[in-house]
Amino acid sequence: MSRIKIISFGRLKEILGSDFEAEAENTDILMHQLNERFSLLKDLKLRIAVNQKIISENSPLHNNDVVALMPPYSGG
Amino acid sequence: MWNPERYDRQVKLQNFGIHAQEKLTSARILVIGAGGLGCPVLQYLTAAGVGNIGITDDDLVSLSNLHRQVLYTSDDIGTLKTEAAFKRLGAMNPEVAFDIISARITTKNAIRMISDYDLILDCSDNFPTRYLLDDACRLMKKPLIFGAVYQYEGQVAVFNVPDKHGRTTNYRHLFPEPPKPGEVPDCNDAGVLGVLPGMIGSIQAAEAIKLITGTGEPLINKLMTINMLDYQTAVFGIPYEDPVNADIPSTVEEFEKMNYEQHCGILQDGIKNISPLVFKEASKLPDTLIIDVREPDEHPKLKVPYIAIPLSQLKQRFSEIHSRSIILVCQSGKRSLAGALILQELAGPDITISHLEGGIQNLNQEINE
Repeated sequence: MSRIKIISFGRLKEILGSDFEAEAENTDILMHQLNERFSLLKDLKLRIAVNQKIISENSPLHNNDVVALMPPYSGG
Repeated sequence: MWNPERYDRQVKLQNFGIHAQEKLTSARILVIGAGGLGCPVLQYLTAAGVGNIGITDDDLVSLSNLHRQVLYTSDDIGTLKTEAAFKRLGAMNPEVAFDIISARITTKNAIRMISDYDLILDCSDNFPTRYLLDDACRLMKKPLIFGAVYQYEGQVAVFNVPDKHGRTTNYRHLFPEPPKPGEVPDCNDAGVLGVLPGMIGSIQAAEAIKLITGTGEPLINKLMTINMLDYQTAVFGIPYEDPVNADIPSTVEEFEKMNYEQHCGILQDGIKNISPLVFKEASKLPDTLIIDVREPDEHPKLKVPYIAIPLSQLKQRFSEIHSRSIILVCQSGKRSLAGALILQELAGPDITISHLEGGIQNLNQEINE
């Protein structure tokens, strides 16, 4: 099990709160955990980045990885 | 010919010089949106001596714009943003040629509009325009500098510019499908600190200058995020895999058939969107009834004749509505659209139902109280 840090942006920060740590082996498992814990997260459009690289599929997580959750912004 | 003294302090820069200034002077840049992001972008590109700048916006200056849209003054309220911007920018640097486009970018005019320019800046404030512009620029292979804000945070990226491996990305690589309406609040609903679009727009302008002059490392295939509360910034690599989504147009012909309001879930079948510019004329059409669906204590009140039925009572009081053509209005355009959906269900197909896009806050003051 890897211990990772989660940071979030925009409205996701309002839902998840400030940065926190979690334990998960990969991003799919992590997102499943987060969806269970934060019901408002469900169905929201977001991108996941692991160590500042946006991922397109399930990715393994290692100790001290930083997972960022990003929503789109429209304001101008 | 440009005045060397005007640009002396940037020409002097190491790795800039006269060649870079000449590239700026012969560049053609189109700015979509002259609002919070567009104002600083336009100011810095004008000051830097970009040869040709297109300014596109169909909106009027309103009082609630002024805390962040720093090109405009209180005297500009109710006038077209494009014209007010042109007045300031022309005085700032008469060596720049401006094209004023006082219209919304649409699937009909987008391809022609962007064809005339080397570089496009997305300074818009809504998802339909952002997806429309992204698709148009991808299809036309036009470099696009994206900027967007949310409350205290901003995003910037450079799209459709090949990296050293020849790879390009666009906004669809980041967010293949638009979020549902209401999922991501805009500045009107969520608020924004005025300096934030100032910061993000300044970064967009810097990226434009870097791209045109070949200076430094622009955010090609990268997304930069900034939080102005704690200055946490990060640069994320954007994945290259093309999104799998049948709704993305792959040719200009497909693009021109798209409906981006519908694509973003905003336009509902059978409900007409009325822009602030045509609202006054539309309100004068025969047998047209305007319904204000806000609560009674909300201001400003409309100056044109209307009846007031709060959204919560629309269903019960439907029998009071006898017109064949109804225009619903509210503060931001959200409740009026919700009301339009209620009426559509109750009224059937014979009645024309419209709503005021962007709400009363976007209306010219002469129509407001």
